[in-house]
Amino acid sequence: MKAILISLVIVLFTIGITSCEKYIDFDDASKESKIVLNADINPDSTFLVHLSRSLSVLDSRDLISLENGKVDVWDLEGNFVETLDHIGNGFYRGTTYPQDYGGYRIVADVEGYKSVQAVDSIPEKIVIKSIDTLGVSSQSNFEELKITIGFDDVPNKSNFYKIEVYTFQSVNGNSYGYPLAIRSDDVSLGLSGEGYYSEVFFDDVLFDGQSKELIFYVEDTRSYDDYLEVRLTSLSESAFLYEKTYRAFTASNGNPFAQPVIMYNNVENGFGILKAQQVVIKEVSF
Amino acid sequence: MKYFTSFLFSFLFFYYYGQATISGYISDGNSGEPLIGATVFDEMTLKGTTTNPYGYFSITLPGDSARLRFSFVGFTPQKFSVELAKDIKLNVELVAQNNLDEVVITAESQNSIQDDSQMSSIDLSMEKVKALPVFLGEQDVMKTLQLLPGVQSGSEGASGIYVRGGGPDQNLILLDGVPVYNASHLFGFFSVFNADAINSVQLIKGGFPAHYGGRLSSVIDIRMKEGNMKEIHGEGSIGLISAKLMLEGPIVKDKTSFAISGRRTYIDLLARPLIKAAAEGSGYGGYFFYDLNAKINHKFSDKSRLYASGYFGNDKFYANFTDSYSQNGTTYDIESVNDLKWGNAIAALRWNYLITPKLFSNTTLTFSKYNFNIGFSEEDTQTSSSGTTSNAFSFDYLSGIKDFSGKVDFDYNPHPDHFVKFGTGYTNHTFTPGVNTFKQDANGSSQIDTSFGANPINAGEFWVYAEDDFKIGQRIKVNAGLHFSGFVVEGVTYTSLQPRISARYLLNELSSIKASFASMAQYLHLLTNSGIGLPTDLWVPPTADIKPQFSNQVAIGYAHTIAKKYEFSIEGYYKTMENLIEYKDGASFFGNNETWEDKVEVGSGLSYGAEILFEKKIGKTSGWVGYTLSWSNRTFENLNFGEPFPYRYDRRHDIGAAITHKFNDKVDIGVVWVYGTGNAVTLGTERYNSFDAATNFYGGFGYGEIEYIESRNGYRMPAYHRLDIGINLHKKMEKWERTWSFGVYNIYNRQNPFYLYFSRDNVGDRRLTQVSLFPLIPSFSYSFKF
Repeated sequence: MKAILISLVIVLFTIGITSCEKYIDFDDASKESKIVLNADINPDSTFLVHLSRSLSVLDSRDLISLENGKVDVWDLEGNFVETLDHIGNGFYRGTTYPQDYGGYRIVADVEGYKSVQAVDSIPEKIVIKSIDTLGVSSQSNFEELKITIGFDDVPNKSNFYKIEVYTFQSVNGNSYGYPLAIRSDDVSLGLSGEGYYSEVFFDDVLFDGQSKELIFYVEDTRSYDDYLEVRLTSLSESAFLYEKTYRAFTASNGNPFAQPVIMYNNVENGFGILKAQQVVIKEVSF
Repeated sequence: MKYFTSFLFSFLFFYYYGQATISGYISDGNSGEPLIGATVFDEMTLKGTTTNPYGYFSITLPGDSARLRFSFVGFTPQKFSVELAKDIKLNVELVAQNNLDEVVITAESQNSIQDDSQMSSIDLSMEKVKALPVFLGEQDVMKTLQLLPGVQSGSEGASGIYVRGGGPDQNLILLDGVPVYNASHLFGFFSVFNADAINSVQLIKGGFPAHYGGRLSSVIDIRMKEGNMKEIHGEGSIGLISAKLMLEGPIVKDKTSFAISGRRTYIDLLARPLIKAAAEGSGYGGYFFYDLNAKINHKFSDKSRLYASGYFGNDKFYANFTDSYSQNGTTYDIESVNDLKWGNAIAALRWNYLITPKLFSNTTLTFSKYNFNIGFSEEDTQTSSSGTTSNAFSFDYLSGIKDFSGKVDFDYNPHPDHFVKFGTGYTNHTFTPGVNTFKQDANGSSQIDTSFGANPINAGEFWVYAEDDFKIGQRIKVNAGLHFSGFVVEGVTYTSLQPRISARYLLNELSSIKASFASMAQYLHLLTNSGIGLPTDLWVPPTADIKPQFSNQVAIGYAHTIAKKYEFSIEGYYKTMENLIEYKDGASFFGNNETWEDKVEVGSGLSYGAEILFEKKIGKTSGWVGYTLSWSNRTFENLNFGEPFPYRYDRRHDIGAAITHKFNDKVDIGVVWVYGTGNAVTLGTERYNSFDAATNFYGGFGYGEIEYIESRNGYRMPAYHRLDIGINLHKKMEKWERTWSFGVYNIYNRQNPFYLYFSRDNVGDRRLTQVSLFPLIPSFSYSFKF
């Protein structure tokens, strides 16, 4: 027994000492920085683009903004729209408003970097045809507001949506709003039973071309707030894929047990996202 | 058409002219242990057959007499001349040879690789398993299987296997015909099979006969020893981490026998004083596993035999803490108990009955259970002058699967050129895919006692099959069959008709070409965490949304015996798999409110490759060298943006060499060398600002940096290779035999990758860091046999 104990201690000691970590070469780490283009286009705002640089995962320097770039906007017929002006901190703004259903190509050049471009198109604006609210109690006696909205899905194409609810309170003439978490049993939203989400992204696979009546629940804030806003955003496919992957990324970031998330990226020769969307807002006063 | 006519004529000839059936059992003369796959060959008609898993054979021959030869590798063959006037019962006992003498064996061996219609199949010799060097002195069947072509290991040291691009859930691991769900101890470093208790191991990678079903990628058919019918024997060993003992013998000589074996690790017992000392007496923890195999068999008559067998094994990690302190006149006592445990329990009752000499039946009732449990509990007691109050809470997470099964299998030998099998069975599954229990007590009264999570799911699986292993002329042998199965769960019924065919064409006496097609269905899914080796396996059934797994595999090969003692085979395969599941991007085992169905995506798999095996089974130097060139990809609509990506264990090159050499009766050595392309892992290559970080430049929420990942499993770890060497020193005493085994694992101290992560070095630079588990590790064990 003594021999076994001594041998065991020797083996464990050996493993403890010699099972080890070592640094290894990482051939896949890119040596070259790329332009990162982030932009959100919608008919309510002029073009606004942000440029920064990417770095290798092994590079510890800051991801600084790129301020000496040139950003051009083209439509999908090849017509030049405008060159955006740098307004500071890597932001480039134009004077033109994207048009409904307009498709755009944004090209960014920065000296010392490969030119990048991204393409996206403004999706259809969706009209909320009806909206109805009803105070209810949930299974756990939680006071909820049942919200029912109706809208028409555009047929024969894939459509993507985001739904949000904000509640507002007026204080000294100013309105302060915050998002409410949404729960829904509607399978087309793809939410798990008891989950609450402040932004819900979904597609029209289950109701393509139909008049959709969507039912969801939020906290009932009528006793202390003044009004609600229901925001229904139609998204381009790129915007939808980016948001879905970004939500998965943020939810799992830092969790060693989680599967790594591959982020959606539609910038050619670089990184980032050009996402197009249109939002409609319906106000419900209490 | 020519072959069909020939077949028909020979069939009619046998049925209308003189014939007699010779049947019986072939067993080891020393122990009475059945010899599975032993050959019976009539030198006059050149017809032959082999024994079934119970050692039974039946051969029907024409004419007045026969000259039968009974042989099995490692045993001295026996010959009998018999008159065929009537049916004959012939139980044959073969005697083991001390050495696998090349001259004797090669001259007599009839069971050559080129003869069998079954392809992609390997019988593993238990002698080889015991002779090869092993990790920490623990002989391990599963790790020996990993050395064969087409079979890949997962992570460093793990005993899980991945066959022809399939997942770890796609292996039908049978212990005496009962499925084993989790075949691993100690996070997969050791398998649950105690080598001392095993009689035979067969691995099938493709061309599955119709009597097997329920998994896509492989069958590992492990048969336990029945127990010595002649006299009491035993063997045991004491190693670095465990001790084991096996006893077998007759209860009633030549009628009833038993075999019982047990194994337990003792790291926890040895380390407990050290841990207690380190924790200053306030806590202790540890880990152990044990397993127990037991079997009794009773021969009622030559026609009827009953077997009862069981396996019970558990792994347990535990960490218990106590604390006590006083504050403001109150004494606080805290006791905390934490457990992580998992284990299998298996029981089987089998009844062999010979309905006629040509018709052998086996009726089996089985029970199989796998449980995984995490438990935390804490009790706080406060004692003061005003009295004592206490609070307690406990949390348990339980997942598992429980099966009750019944089946009837028949072997029918109507003719020496036909070996028919047919049967049916039913399994009742109860899945428990993650149940949480939370209890809270205050001063002895229950405050909360609740369960949440997935509810147990009941499901039924049924199957029926028929197959015939038949010859067409002298050159062609075919195994053709159909397997029909179904699964009923929550009102949904899935069915599948699976054709199977495997054939060989003899080019000459020494070589053949083989081909096979097998369609398989699997009514189980395994959710397993791909990163770490925790036993968090979650067995889940198909549901209305998640369908059963299906595969189709074709294989073609060439087999050749060289100089009567070397076997060479090369096979190519192409396998498609449907309805595979993988965790979604970002999904985690440790969950939130989502059910398991919400965490997975469904997709398909494709694997293909070539395998070469060069083997020498006999002689003082024996062993094999195997090489596999393979590809294994997965395609999921919602993963990797729909693009195919490599399976985590996609391994382009895999080499396994296992050689033993016996110098004399006292000394033998074993050498193992393995090489494999690195595992496919997912790593970011670049970092950049997210949209939120970029556009909320002046403040706001959102994670700043995104790591750019080009593709799921797009990066390869460094290659894995290592060399192990072992030596066994045997000594025969008057009544027993002892063996000292010394071994060195990873003798050239290769730092093989276990996992990779990014860290910062001394000057703050980010570096890719490789963690290795096992350096050079010496081991020894002492074993004895009587």
